[in-house]
Amino acid sequence: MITRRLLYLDTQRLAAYAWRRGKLQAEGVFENRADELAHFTDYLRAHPGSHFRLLVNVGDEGYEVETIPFLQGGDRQALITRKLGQHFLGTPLSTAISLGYEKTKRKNEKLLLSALTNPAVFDPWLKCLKDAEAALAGVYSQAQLGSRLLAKLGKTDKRALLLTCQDHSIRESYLVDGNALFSRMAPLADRSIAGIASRLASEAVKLHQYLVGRRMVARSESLPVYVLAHPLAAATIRQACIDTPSLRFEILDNHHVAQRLGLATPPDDSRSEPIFLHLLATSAPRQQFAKAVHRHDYRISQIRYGLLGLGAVALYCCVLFAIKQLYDTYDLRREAQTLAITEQELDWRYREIAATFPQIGIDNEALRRVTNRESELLRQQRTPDKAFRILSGALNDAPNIQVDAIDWVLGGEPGQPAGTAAPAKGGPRLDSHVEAVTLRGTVRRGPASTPRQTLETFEHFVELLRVDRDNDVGVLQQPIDIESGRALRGGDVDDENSRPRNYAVQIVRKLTP
Amino acid sequence: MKIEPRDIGKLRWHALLAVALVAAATALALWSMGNERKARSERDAMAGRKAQTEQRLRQVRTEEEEIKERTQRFQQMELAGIIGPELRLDWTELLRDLQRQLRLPGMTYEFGPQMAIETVEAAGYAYHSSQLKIQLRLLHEGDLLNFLERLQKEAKAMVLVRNCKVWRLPPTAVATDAAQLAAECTMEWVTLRRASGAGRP
Repeated sequence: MITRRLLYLDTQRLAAYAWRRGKLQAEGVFENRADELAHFTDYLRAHPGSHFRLLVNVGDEGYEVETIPFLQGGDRQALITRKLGQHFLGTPLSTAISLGYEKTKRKNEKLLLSALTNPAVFDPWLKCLKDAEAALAGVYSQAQLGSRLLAKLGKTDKRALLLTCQDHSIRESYLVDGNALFSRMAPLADRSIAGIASRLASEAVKLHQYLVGRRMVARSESLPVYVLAHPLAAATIRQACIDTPSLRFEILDNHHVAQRLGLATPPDDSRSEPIFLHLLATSAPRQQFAKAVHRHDYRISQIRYGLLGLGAVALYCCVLFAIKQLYDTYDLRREAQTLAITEQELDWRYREIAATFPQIGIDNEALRRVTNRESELLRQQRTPDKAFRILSGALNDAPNIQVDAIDWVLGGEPGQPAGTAAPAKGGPRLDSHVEAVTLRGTVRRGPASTPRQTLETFEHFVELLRVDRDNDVGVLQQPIDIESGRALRGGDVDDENSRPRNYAVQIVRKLTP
Repeated sequence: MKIEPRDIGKLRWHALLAVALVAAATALALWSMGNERKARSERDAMAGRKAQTEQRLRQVRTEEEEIKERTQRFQQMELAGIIGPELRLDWTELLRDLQRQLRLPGMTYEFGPQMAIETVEAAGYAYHSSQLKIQLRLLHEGDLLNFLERLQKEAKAMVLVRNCKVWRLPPTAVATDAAQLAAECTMEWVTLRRASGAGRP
């Protein structure tokens, strides 16, 4: 957990506070002396995990309003740096606040340039911060916080004066549209309630006259003046601060203000430091005076906490995810257990019923497998009977065809296991659902027959075989070889035509169950 | 902001801690995902088993009929001598009887060694087969068909004819027995027996 620590620097000393849940706790007061600075450095080193914010209340402040052309990005930043250099030469503690763009065609931008003009006041303290490698989040002026204070209290006047008391001074700020356009510090010699009251009244009139003189306020304009004071001092201050046509005083009860802002430790007197420090802890302005070099360790600290934050977020998300997954796992396991119990019950009921089945020394599943396989084997129990009958029918109608050999094969070549397929030479492919019959024989015609007649007789026989649609008939050997790819021999010898002509036919039949 | 070398030292432990946290987070997420995946697959498997058993139970009444029918078939197989060790002596006697009854002029045969067709491991039973190569001398082709038909009916095994070759004997080879044809057949004599190592249920 990052602890916010607040440093309050005035012209005399630097006070350190720890801020926790609306409570300010003083941790030390250091003066600008070598030994005190060393103590301050030790104090900073003792709190390496803290982020420090420095609130300054010094007299050396400068405010300028500038108008720059409409620019963006690096060009704008370079111009602002140049303008700050021109107005506040020699101080690194400066900042620019945009007051908006003009409504003209050129859209010029109005800037409020402000700076803490005496760096010598800050240098020893900034050096301590650097030496201790303390994380300095920013340097803020009390005037910056004045506008925040009024905004928080709902005082939304376009222009207003804010007067606050500090230990040895009165801070007077001129606020326009929520920005401090001017602020100065007046020393406070008489710290009695009456002294403070009269000084506040006179300083308000002086500041108004100054602003009128600078033409920052119209002479006829009536300005509200807010004075932050302890409730016990409010009546006295009210008596001293008399309303005029130009100034309307309103006393802000600092206890009431502390309550509105959530400060748990209300101020003991009219001093405003606790309220501004609390405001700095809870809603620090975006603009501040420290340069990047002063905030280097703050950025490093941010990276460190960022890394830890990243790891913590990843762990947190994964823990949430894991919890959800574990819950799902638990649900799934419970569901599986319920299913297992149900399955066991169902199985038990099944076994109870199955026990009533005939018992033959073989379990039901085995019986199923054995009988199924038997059915498969029985489907292969064939004889050549049907094939022979088909052949017989065809031969009856083809008396000149003589059969010498019949080779019947079921589902493959002899010697091969059932179900394997073997290609038949010159015929269709065999498989376990077919039977193949290879027929060899001769065509016998009379001596006067011509080769054409012999072929016609053979083709007639083949056609007779093809009558059955289940027969796939392939001719393996023609009785007379008249293919173009082979030699064809003949002569005028008489017995050439009377010689028996050999043929071979293969019939492949699909088997029906 | 520019990170300088000395800043690395300041960030080192935080970076390591962040990496460790991310690693721990990832490990935790992966572990929980693995557990969930395993539990889901177990649940799915159990749901599958339950559905299977449920289905079996739903069908048990029809199954009862089916089991009775299968039991009958099994018993028929036992009666037909298909179940149990091969009865080779019975087989040879049957072959001789058929030859005599059908008046086949000649017969030679050879039974091959018994071989397992396949092992139905879950069943504890296995079908085995012995190959028979037989040569016959026939008066006509009808003798072969009758022979095969009676063999399939009467043999104490399931007889599966694989191939048969019939051819005409040359006139010179027709001997005194008047055989006109010769035939050669290959067939499988299938029996069922308990697989080796399987105990009786």
